[in-house]
Amino acid sequence: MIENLILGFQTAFTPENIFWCFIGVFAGTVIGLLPGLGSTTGVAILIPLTLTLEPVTALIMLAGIYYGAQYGGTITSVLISTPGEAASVVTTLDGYKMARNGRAGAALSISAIGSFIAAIISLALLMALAPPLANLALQFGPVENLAIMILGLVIVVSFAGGAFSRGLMMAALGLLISTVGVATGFSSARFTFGNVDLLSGIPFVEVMIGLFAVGEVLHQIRVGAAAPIRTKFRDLMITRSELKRSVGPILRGSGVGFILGILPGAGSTLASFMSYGIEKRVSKNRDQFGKGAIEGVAAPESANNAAANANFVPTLALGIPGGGTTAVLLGAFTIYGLQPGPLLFETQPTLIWGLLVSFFIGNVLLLVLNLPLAPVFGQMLRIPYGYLYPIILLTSFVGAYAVSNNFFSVLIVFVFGIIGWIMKEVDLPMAPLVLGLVLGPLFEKSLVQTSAIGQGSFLVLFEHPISVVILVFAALLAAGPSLTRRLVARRHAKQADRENDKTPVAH
Amino acid sequence: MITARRAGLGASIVLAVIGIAAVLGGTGYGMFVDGGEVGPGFLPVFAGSLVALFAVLDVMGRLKRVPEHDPLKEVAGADEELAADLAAESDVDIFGRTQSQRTRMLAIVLGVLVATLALVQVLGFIPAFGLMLFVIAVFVERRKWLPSLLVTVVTCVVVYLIFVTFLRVPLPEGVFGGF
Amino acid sequence: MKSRTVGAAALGTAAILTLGACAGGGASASSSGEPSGDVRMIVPFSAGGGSDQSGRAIAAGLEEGTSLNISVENREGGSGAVGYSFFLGQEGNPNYLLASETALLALPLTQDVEFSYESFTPIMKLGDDYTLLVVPADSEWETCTDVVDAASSDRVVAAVSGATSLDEIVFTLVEDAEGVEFDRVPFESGSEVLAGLLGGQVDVASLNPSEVLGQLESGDLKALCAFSEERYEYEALADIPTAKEQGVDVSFAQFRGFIAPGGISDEAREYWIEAAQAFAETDAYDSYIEENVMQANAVYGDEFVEYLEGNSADLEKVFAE
Repeated sequence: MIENLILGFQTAFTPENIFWCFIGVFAGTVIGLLPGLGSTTGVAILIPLTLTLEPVTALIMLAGIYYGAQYGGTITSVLISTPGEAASVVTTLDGYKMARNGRAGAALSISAIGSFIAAIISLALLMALAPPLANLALQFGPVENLAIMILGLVIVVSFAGGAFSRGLMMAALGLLISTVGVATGFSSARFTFGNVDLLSGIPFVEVMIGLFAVGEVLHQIRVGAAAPIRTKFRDLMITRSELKRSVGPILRGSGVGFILGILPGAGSTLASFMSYGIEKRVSKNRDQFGKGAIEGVAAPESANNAAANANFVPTLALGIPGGGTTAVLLGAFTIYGLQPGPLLFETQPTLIWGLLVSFFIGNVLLLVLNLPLAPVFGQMLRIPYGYLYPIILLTSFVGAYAVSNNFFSVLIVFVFGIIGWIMKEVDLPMAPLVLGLVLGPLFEKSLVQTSAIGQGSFLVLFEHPISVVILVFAALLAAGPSLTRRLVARRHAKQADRENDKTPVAH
Repeated sequence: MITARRAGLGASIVLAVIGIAAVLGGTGYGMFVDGGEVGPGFLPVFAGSLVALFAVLDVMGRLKRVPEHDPLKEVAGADEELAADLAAESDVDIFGRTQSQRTRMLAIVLGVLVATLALVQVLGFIPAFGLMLFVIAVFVERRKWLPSLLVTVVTCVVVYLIFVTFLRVPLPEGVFGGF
Repeated sequence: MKSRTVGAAALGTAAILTLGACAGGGASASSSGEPSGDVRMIVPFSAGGGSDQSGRAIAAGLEEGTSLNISVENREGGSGAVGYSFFLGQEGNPNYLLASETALLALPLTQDVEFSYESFTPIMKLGDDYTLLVVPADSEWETCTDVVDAASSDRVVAAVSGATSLDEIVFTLVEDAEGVEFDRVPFESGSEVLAGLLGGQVDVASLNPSEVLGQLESGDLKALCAFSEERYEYEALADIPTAKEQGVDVSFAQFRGFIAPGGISDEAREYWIEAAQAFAETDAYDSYIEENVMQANAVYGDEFVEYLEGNSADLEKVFAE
């Protein structure tokens, strides 16, 4: 282990590698800033540029792009409510509210810090435990995945809070939209009305750009320009108390993210939603969620970064990609003549440990680059809205086009822009819709697979021990929200008592 | 406000209809295939019925909710237009624009957007959207034309450099060729 | 390794050169009917998969031998239907190519699409990709016959990676030949099938050698037989008997190649065939075939069309039920 680490540092820690990693992080951040372009597209587009480099250097640069693009997406989520990928949708809920309260810098700082801590924790676990964890992940077949999906939906249901039924309605609508096109295992097209572009379904990236970016712009025009956010540079810095509040959410988010990230498939989107749902239950600042709670940024951002790293567990240890971006990276491995598979750790120790150490370097660079820049990015909001919103419209549509070079994407953005605006007007939540849309295909796939394994019966769910455990857990959560709430409330009451003894707390 | 409540009702009714349509369509695709295994219609029926169910609940909820005590409404009585106007005047943004002005702006922006999408094939992607930026800034937002032009040109150049030069995205081109 | 570095360097240089040069000239046909300037290679599947790799290899190889700038575009969806349907709309445009495989034949037979292989201009078949029947290393089965015997009496769960995929075709062929039945669990890609197999969720799978080479080497999986005409020549695979040797008369090749849109001029067709022949001579071609553990078997133009005719007739039987 130590030897391997030293080997890794020797491989990765050359000035050349660090230089290219830096370029990767920077280029990735720029790409992530563009609406619609997330890490998957970023890595796929930039692979040709890395072909001239040595394999280790190239992979290090690609890892840099991966982390950079994720953070870039977070920046736009916070500043202009435009998530770069599904995993940062949740960040818009409180991040964007924080930005509108003049705390953009703090939101960006805490996501950089949270991501960094999550990355360090998950990388340590990845280095120490990748092979055994990967074997554990293999025990999660379709049946277990279905159970996880059910658990995820149960936790997420707690999101909507008061408008509980509307959240569920939107999640169901997302599921419904996801059924457009051809599903796993079937050859018949559904709800396509003869349109070729609809065969591949309604792409969630474009839906996200439409709902969040365009919908928000249209909404802002109607509610009227808010006063430009004129905050002093100092106000954009994160405060000590905010940091303190974020410790718990970051650690919990990292845990949830890592566990879900190991499983191929479900990954970072579910992780970010689940960690938000969990914080909303356990936090003593529950009432601030949705209004700009820093916990609501720290938790999902840590979760999706931990999941992104955990995705490498099955990728490196088994040769089975854990997510979209790792699939593209795995493709890059073969370009360099490396055979992905369980032997990679043994046959290519230099490369693997070099790569793992460079993940670490990539995260350090990301923090170094972005922590001081966070308040600077926050200043972007000082652009007068009269210029800012047409610029947002422009980049949203160009970004949507760039995802698949197809004008159809542009039309989807437009249509969902209008839908998003209407949803805002009538007070329907958008995040559950995106979750439904993203989980839909996965949910349907595990449904179909589970019923195929059980020969038409879902009773297999109760025959696999792991899925039984997960389902029991889900049932406890579903049945006993009042129970947990009571427990949490009691603990908070005690805490509050203690605090009240010391100093009167101003609320 | 009356209009918002109506819009909410309308949206829920539309959703209920969509849900029911999905259930009918899904049944047509077959909920189960041979041997009782899940078929292509299962998820549409499942999700559609959930949407319909919650939409109906939402409609009932919105109808049942006691209208809040609204002083404006009392003044205006049954005259909805007057009520809307009163509501608008009490709601002026920092540029002194009233609600109805802003609604008009929204309509104009949507119109400009549609025109832009139509113009993409003629002018090319970036010129069309650059024109949109300029038109919105100058005519809708009443910004000075010189800085607006500057912002437009800078934005277009940056977008061109990133998307076309760097990422090699083949954006639709128009009469201006490459740009 | 050396050839790869050279190829990679060439590709990289080309990419950098075109970064500067691509500002001009759109993807428009020149007057002579031959392709010029920017060419798009459509890949009807997502980035990272086998089709994507072959599309990118072909694009790089063709770029090397011509003065063209070929960019790859993924248009995935509907098991390939989206990409092919888009390609149908490019009729007569010599500046488009598509990285093709068996979906070209399977889609018209199974889905309501508007094209068949006759709608396009086939240019080159690069080679054939067969599948291996693989099981977890601790499985009791040692040969394909064991699997067939087991399927005739018990429930054997087979993984397939799509309704029209190569493994679905192969399993159907085995069922027809031997009169047995496999229970299928659908997955979305070869790597998902792999996970299902390693995790014990399915009993057997039929995967391309390139997809399982790592697991075969590590001893996590064992290959029972190859559904190919003859044994593989690659060292790592030479010991795997063909299904035919074991008495299961099934072999089916997935071809990989590229096609041009229908209705292009004869000059354009000749141009692409010549470029393809030049590509087949390069080291890049060899290393592509080798990396993907395929059997080199290049045919061009009319011969490719003949091959498609025969292959399509075979498939028709598979999907007839």
